Amino acid sequence: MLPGWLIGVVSFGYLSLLFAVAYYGDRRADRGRSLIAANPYIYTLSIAVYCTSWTFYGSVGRAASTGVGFLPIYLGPTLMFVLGWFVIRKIIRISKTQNITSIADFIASRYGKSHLLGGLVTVIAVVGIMPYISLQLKAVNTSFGVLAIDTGIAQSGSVFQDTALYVALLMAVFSILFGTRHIDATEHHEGMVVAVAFESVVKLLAFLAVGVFVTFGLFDGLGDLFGRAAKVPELVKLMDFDVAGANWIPLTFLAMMAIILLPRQFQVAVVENTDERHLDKAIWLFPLYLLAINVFVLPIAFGGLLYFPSGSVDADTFVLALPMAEQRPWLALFVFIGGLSAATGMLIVATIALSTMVCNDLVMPVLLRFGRLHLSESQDLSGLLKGIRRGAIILILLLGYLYFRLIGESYALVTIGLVSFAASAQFAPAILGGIYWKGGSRNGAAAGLTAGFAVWAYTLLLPSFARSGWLPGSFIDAGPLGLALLKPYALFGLEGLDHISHALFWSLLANIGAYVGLSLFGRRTGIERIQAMLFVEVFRRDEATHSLGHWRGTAAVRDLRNIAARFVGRQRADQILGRYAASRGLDLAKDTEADADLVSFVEKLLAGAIGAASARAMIATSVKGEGIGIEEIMEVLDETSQVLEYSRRLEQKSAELEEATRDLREANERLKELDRLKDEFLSTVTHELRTPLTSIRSFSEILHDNPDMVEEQRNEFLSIVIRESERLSRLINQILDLARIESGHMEWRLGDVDLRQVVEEAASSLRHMFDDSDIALEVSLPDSVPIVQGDRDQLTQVVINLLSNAGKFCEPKKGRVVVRLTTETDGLMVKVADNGPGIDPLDFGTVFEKFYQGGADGTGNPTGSGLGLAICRSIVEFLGGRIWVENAPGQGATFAFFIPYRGS
Amino acid sequence: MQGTSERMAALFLLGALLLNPPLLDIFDVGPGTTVFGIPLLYFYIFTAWGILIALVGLVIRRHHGGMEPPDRTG
Repeated sequence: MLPGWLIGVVSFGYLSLLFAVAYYGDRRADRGRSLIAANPYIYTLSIAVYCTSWTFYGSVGRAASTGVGFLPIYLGPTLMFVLGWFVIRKIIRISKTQNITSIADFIASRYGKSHLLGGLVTVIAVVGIMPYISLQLKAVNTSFGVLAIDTGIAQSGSVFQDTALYVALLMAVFSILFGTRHIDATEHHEGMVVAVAFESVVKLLAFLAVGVFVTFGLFDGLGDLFGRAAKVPELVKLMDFDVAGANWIPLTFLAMMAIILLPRQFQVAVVENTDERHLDKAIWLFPLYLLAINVFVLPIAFGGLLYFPSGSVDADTFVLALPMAEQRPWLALFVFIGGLSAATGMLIVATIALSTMVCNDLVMPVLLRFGRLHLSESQDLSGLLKGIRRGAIILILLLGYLYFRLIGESYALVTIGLVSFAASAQFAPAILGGIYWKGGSRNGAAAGLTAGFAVWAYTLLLPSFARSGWLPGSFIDAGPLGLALLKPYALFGLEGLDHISHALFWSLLANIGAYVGLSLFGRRTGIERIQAMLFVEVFRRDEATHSLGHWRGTAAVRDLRNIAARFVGRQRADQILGRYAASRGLDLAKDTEADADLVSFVEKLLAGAIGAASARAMIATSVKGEGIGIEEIMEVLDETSQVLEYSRRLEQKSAELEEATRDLREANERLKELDRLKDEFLSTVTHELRTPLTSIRSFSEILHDNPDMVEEQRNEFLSIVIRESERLSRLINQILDLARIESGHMEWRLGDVDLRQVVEEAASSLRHMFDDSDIALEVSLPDSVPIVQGDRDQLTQVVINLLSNAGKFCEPKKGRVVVRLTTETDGLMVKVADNGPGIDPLDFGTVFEKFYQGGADGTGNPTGSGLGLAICRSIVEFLGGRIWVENAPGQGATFAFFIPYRGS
Repeated sequence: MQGTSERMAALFLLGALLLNPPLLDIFDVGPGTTVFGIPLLYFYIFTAWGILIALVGLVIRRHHGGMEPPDRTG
């Protein structure tokens, strides 16, 4: 086994690496080359701080007693992230516009920048999260104990040999270094985020490593493992849903809330978010992380239960105990480091988030109230702020350590974590109600939080004290003072639920009841209504309305500058105000009175440093005349939202109208075009009919009037009459054909058609004509083609039309026409290419119209009836195919049609 | 376009349906029925979970592939 000093050195080395990673992250951010800004993956991995040592060790423990019962803790966040598209996005957007620094700040800001609410949320968070922090310390301690058992450094109980204490102190140093560097919270803690993301990778790899080892090293794959487990009666029970089913839904709900409402989750997912678009990746990638880290939980749990005789090893330590029992010390060490990652990541983020809350929402208001920060004193306070936060970090970690020492031993890991989840769920009504319901009021939120927290403490916290011996055990069994109705695990006689579901039901009932009740029947102040509007309608307002402050009076620029300088440092304040002045074209050196915009800007700047409530209080000291025109601002806001609504509807209506107009116009154009075509058709038909008719008539008259004409001439005239009659009847036939096809009265003779024969036939029947005008005709056919369904005569007609059409446009002697038949995947294609003048691309659409005349606008030499192509199109489309024309510039036109194997 | 928002809402409902009782009860058939040696219940939960994630990923991808403006329904 590994010597104890080695474990110590490796752990310390790993934590040093963490410091280095964080330092690197901060350095990059300082130089303006942020690792995070362009990287949604780091954002996603930092959210995975959700998986603490509770996941790393506790999931297996829970799986060993409830089968799939550990999964709701991860399915809930998955579902919440799907909803995150709406909910988390909205919270992020609000937090950015309001410069929110923590969950306490968010709630305080929403309900009128209330000190009371900020403080309340902070107290709930600190008390509620304390068990969770102690849980991490406990996990580190236990895992170190397991790892060190064989090495002789057993727990002596002495504080100086206490791993948990060392880890707590190291984490305090880390949080101080990377959590309290700047006081302007618009600067994110990039070093911390990068370090946490790094830890998320380490813990995932460690867990997967031990999972693979157990599944494929100890056993012969999943099938073998589950197969052997199925032979043990105690393990068979774990494969039922019933052992987990009872509180499945409450736990899923609890985890859904926790993933955004735990202070550390709010910190990484909302406050540290640098780009709203990162959320799009995280929405599915974070659930994927959860899936990956849970895949091997059940195999490890069953593996451990099969490997160790029942009860000899605590299931919470299976991930460590299995590799150790198998003499794999290095794997065990890696797993230990993974567990350390899980624990320290949570410790770091939680303490930084809590310390910000304690400083901004608990200590600052008290200092403000007792006049310790009066404006007349002008010393720099940013140092004081940092001091408060650092003190808070140390205090929180020491409290967590104390809690672990005094109480932590009495509970399994999972139960402790769930107690914290239930506490954070108390924020749900105030936050979710606050972003979707304008009616929620400050008094309602305060009453709801108080009631919910009180019930939580009574049903979960106090019993845990009783279990640890701080309160008499009869408190749980018989109720306080023997009142059975008040038993903390069966309040008012509600039995049959597990402790967590029971507490969740009562606390949320009290919470939501008080919140909704007081909000509905109470009154709200002006600033509450303004903030409600700004939160709920965050997506409907533009920058202008966001910056709309509630200050109407003015303040001296000098005062504002001083206030800002005191909290964020002189240099920073000058820099930020200078940038603001430049963007607005102001000269702050000349202007002595600040307008409302500047006052609001400074307030928001301060909010980033000391929280919304304190910022408001600070600004109020420097604004003259208390000129807060709440009612007027409300009117402006109401008007804006009404105007916005009207204009939105108006836009919608006018868009609809525009579309209808466009449709109408198009239809009209089409009608006009058809009308024009009809006129043209009539005039062309008449013209086309009259030409042969005229010549027939004139030649007939000549023949009639000159009975003694020479034989030769008479024969010539007669042959003209015959040819013209043929042309006439062909024309009439075509018109009739077209009319029949279009009216659906055509008689089709459908059957199997070999297009090869069709093309050959058509080509040979026209070859004579081509030879006459000395135009080359090339026919390219494959050896055989599939049979298609169609009308053989009509298809021949199509090919003849296309060929004669091509021939007409070729110059004699130089002309060349190529007809090609090819097999496509779903049909046959015939292409007829000529080398004539080609077709104007503008005419591609109209070339198949009736009486389109190729030469009509150029040569003035109508060479056909103008019906051939129209007939082709009707035939091809009837057979379910397509016909089109394409041009190769300067190389003539190519007409092509396509007949599918399965005709219509 | 409301398309993406509606798809997300639908996926949430689908996920809530697939990953909770009573559908889970249907797959609760004990260790006798296995898929690749894995008890059906376990196999079902992880598969449904994976499919849900994949669908969400697809919707997001489609959202970015399409020409839809940023979502403003909130």
